[in-house]
Amino acid sequence: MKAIKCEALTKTYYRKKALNDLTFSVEENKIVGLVGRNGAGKTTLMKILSGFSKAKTGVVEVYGRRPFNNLFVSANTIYIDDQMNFPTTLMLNEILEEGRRFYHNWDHDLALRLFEYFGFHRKQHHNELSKGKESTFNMIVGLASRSPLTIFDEPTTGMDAAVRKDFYRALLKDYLAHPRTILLSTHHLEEMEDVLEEVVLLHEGSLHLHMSMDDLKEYSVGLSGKISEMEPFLQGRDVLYKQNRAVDDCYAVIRNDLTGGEYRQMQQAGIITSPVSASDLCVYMTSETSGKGSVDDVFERSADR
Amino acid sequence: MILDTDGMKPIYVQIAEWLESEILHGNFKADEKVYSQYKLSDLYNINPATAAKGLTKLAEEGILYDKRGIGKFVSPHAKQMIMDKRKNQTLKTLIEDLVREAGYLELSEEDVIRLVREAWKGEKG
Amino acid sequence: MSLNEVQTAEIVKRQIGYKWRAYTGVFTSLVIIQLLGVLFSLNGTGSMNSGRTGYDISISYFTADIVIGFTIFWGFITAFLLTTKAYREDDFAFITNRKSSTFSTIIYLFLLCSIASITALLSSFLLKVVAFIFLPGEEKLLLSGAESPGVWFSGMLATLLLVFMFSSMGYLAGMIIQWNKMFVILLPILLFGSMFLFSKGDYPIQVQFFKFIFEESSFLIFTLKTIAFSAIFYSLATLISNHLEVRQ
Repeated sequence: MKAIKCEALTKTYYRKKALNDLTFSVEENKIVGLVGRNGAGKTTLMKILSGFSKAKTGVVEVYGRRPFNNLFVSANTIYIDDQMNFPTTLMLNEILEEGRRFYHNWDHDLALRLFEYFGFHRKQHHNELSKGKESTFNMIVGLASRSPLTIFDEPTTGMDAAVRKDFYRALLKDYLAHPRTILLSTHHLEEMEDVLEEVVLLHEGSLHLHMSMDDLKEYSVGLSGKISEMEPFLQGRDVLYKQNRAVDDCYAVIRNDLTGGEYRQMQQAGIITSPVSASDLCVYMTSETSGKGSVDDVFERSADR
Repeated sequence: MILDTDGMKPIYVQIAEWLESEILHGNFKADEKVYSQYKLSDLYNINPATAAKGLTKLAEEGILYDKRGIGKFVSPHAKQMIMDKRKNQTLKTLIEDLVREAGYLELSEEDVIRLVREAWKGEKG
Repeated sequence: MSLNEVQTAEIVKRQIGYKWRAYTGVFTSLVIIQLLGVLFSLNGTGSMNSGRTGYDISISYFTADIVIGFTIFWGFITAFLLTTKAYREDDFAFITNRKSSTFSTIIYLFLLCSIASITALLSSFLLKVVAFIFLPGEEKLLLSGAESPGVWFSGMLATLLLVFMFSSMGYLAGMIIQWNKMFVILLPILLFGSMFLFSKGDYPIQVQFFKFIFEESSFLIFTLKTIAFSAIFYSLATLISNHLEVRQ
C-alpha cells in the first residue's frame, strides 16, 4: 500500500490555484523532502494530507483512505509546523502527557530524553517559548508520536545551526530504529540532503520533479567557461539554467547525459565541469518559468531611470 | 572517512569505495559479514537507501555476495578483484589525467617518466 | 510502522479528558460569574414588609434565581467560545476528526453544566449565610425554606437542563459564525428580524418560546422539551462543523 497517493489534486483559495492537477505518490517508510519556492503549495498539500483542509477536485489518499475528516488518518498522521496550537494553560510536560494518551505508538521515554537534552523545563508554557525553542519542542512531539506518516512543515524555523544538526541526526536515528514515512518541507535542503531518500519539487502548485536524492544529485552538471566555447556544447541540449558572468564568462546547468568523449572535448575547450547541489538545482529549475528575470533586473531597471 | 558531500562523486560510490578500502586493509575478511545498510546509514548520517545502493553496487561487481535475510558478505576473491579494478580503472584514469596535464604544461614523455620515477623513489626508498 | 485502527469512542474519551485538563479557564469564569450573581442577589429577590405597633417585620427572599440566570448566560458564552478557531485548533493538535471533536465538546459542556448547576444551587446557601451575617437588621431569623432533597434535586436537574440548552444555542451560534463570518452581522439581524416577523398576537416569538419552555408545569415534559431543543441545536452544529476546515 502506498503511504500517500494524489491524483489530479486541485485546491483553490479565492480563485487562485494553490495546487494544480498534482499527481504523485510516496511509498511507505521513506523520508521524502518536499521542496519548492514560497507559495509553491507545500503547506497546502501537507494540510490536505493531514486532513485539515479539503481538496477541491482530484483524489487524495493516505494509507488508502481519504484524509479529510478521517479518524484513521488522524490517528496515523501527525502534522508539525511552526504554528502548532497547544492550550496555553498546559505546561510542556502536560502536553507530552496528552501526546502519550492520544498516540498509540508514542514513545514517552524518547520524548523525555529529548526534552532533557534540549534543555526544556517541565513547568514552561508553550506560548512562552522562543521561536527556535518552540520549533524544537514541536519536533520532539513529532518524533515521539512515531506516527506512520509524520509530516514536518518547515520544522527548523528559528533553530540555530547546532540544533538543526541535532534534529537531522535524531530524525535519522529514530527512523532507522522505527522506519516510517516522513514527509518534510524545508528551505535548508543542502543541510539535510543526505538524510532524504526522495525529493518532490513543487512549482506553482504542480509537480515539477519527483526522484530519488541520489538521482537528483547526478541529474545535472554545471559548466563554466567562455561564452564562445560554451555555445556549441549547449546547442540542442536541455539547458536548465544559464547565467552570463563577468565579461565573456558564462555558467550553465545542463542535464547530466554527457558521454566520456564529450567530457574530454569540454575539458580540452577549457570548460570546467562542476557538480550542482540538489538545493541549487531546485532553485534553478523553479526560477526560469517566472518570466520576471533575476533580482538583478530589478536594480538595473531602476538604475536606468 | 569523511564524506565529500559537495563533490562530483555520488555518496553511494564513496560508501562503496570506503568498503573496498576496508576490505583491502583487511578489516573485513573473506566470507565475513560487512556492515548493513542501517549501520552504514548511522555511521555516515546518510539515508539507508543510499547506503544500500553502495552495497548493491559492490554485490553487482561480485565483491560482496548476498545471503538472503542475513546480509552481505565479502567474496573469497574480493581483495584481488578490488586490486584489479583499481589498477585497471583508477590508476588508468589517474595516468590519463597525468598525461593530459603534462600535455598542457608541454612536458615530454621522458619528463613524465622521470617524475614518476622520482616520486616512486620518494615513496618506496 | 504498524497502522493503528482507533474507535471514535476511545478518541472522544481522550478528548474529554484533554479538554477537562486544558480548559481550566472556564472554571475561573464560572466562579467569577456566580459570585457576581450572589452579589446582585443580596438585594433580595423579593421582600415583604409589614409594620405593627412596636415592631417591623421585613421578609426578604434570597434565592439563587439571579445566580442561575448568570449561569445560563455563562453556559451560552462558554459554548460559543469553544467554537472559536483557537479552541478548535487545540483539538486538532492531537488525534481527532470533526465528529469526535464536537461530540467530546458536547459531553464536556454537559459535565461543565452539571457542575455549574450544582454550584448555582449551592450558592443559595452561601447567599443566605452572607445575608444573615452582613445585612442590617436587629433580630434576624433564617428560614431555609421547604427544601427536601427531592425538590433540591429536581431544581438542580432543571437548572442543568436549562444551562445545557442555552449552551447548545451558544454552540450553534458560534458554529454558524465559524462557518461563515458574515453571520456575525447576519445572525443578530435574522434573530431580531424573525422576532418581529413571526410574532403572533400580543406575544413576540421569543416570549412564546420562553413561555413554552418555562411555563411547563409537568417536569417530565419540561425535561423532554429542553432535551429536544438541545439535541436539535447540537445536531445542527455538528452538521456544520463537519464541513469546517481547520488550519487553512
